[in-house]
Amino acid sequence: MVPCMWRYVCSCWLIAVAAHAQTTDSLARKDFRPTGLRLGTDLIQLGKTMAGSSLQGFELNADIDFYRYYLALDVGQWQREHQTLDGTYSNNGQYFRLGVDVNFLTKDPEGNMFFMGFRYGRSRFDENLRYTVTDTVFGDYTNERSHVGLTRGWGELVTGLRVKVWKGLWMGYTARFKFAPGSSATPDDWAVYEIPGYGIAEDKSYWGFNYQVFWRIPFRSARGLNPK
Amino acid sequence: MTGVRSLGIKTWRLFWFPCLAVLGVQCFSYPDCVQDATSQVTLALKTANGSAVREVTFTRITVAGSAETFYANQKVSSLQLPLNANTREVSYTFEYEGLVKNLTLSYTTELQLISPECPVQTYFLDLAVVSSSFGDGQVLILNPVVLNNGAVHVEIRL
Repeated sequence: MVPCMWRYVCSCWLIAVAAHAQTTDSLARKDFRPTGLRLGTDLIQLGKTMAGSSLQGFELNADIDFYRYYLALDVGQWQREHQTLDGTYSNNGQYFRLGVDVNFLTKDPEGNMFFMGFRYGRSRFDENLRYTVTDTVFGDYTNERSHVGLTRGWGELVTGLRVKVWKGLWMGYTARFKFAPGSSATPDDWAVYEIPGYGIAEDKSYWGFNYQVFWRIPFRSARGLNPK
Repeated sequence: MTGVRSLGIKTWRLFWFPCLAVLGVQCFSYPDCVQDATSQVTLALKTANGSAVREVTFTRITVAGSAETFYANQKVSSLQLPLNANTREVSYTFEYEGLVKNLTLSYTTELQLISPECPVQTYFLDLAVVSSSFGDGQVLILNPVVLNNGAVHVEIRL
């Protein structure tokens, strides 16, 4: 199922990139000077945090345009605590994603975006597992394992929309196909469970979704992009 | 942009954005509990040359660190005995047909949390014979990874 989905996502992404390559006019004529910086946050993450979910954290998003290409940076903080069936698991860490988006709506007068792109994500985190083993032969016992300062990276193919709502206010969503997380193996006998910004480490691919709100800070006049 | 324009972008954005957010939230789920880890090592009993299954009536089998006895006065051709997740070795004493034999196995463990809704799984790996009084070459490790898949892990020839 996952390899099939992986092939599907890769195919869509490659077709889009090929279509983009064919329709790109002479880039030499285009103005690559950035026109503004967009800063935002993920509302789903904020909503979960405010609703008292086991996942507490936030994510900040930024992008800057170079003609139809956008350099994108996301940074996030993640803190999770689970009551497991036989103990507690906690995870605390930070992550970032860096990548490029390509806008396919180049002629939109308001600068609305339908984009595809890629990201490289990396996370630094600590995790702790405390659990009780019920053993009728050798007797019950409680065990604890900790990982401190682990780092793991992963890749993402992304797609989504950015729509100008009012003046500098933009909203958008980003769907993420995350893949190739770093190994779950560790120097000790406990495999990594969860990677902040990615998800469960054992899952070799993962879907993510952000629903974002942005404020755009214009650098200079560009048709359709400045707040009115 | 004409395609998006023709949809009427204001209506379009008002409708789709909240819908997509709801759909996105629905995408998150935990994996199923896959109970393929076990703390029971399976031992098959064979004749001295390993060519046939041997049935043995045990007086009892004991495990170091536990007061429990196993297979007391039972005639069996395979055994399932416990591994101790809190140590890296386990010693068994087999009493049968007037004989007393010992076997010590070593192993490593790997812990895995599959989901908060599942118990922590302890996998036993790298199963090896530390010592045995069954004689040289009479205890064979057939499968050093102990999984709940019906495989035989150890063969004892006696």
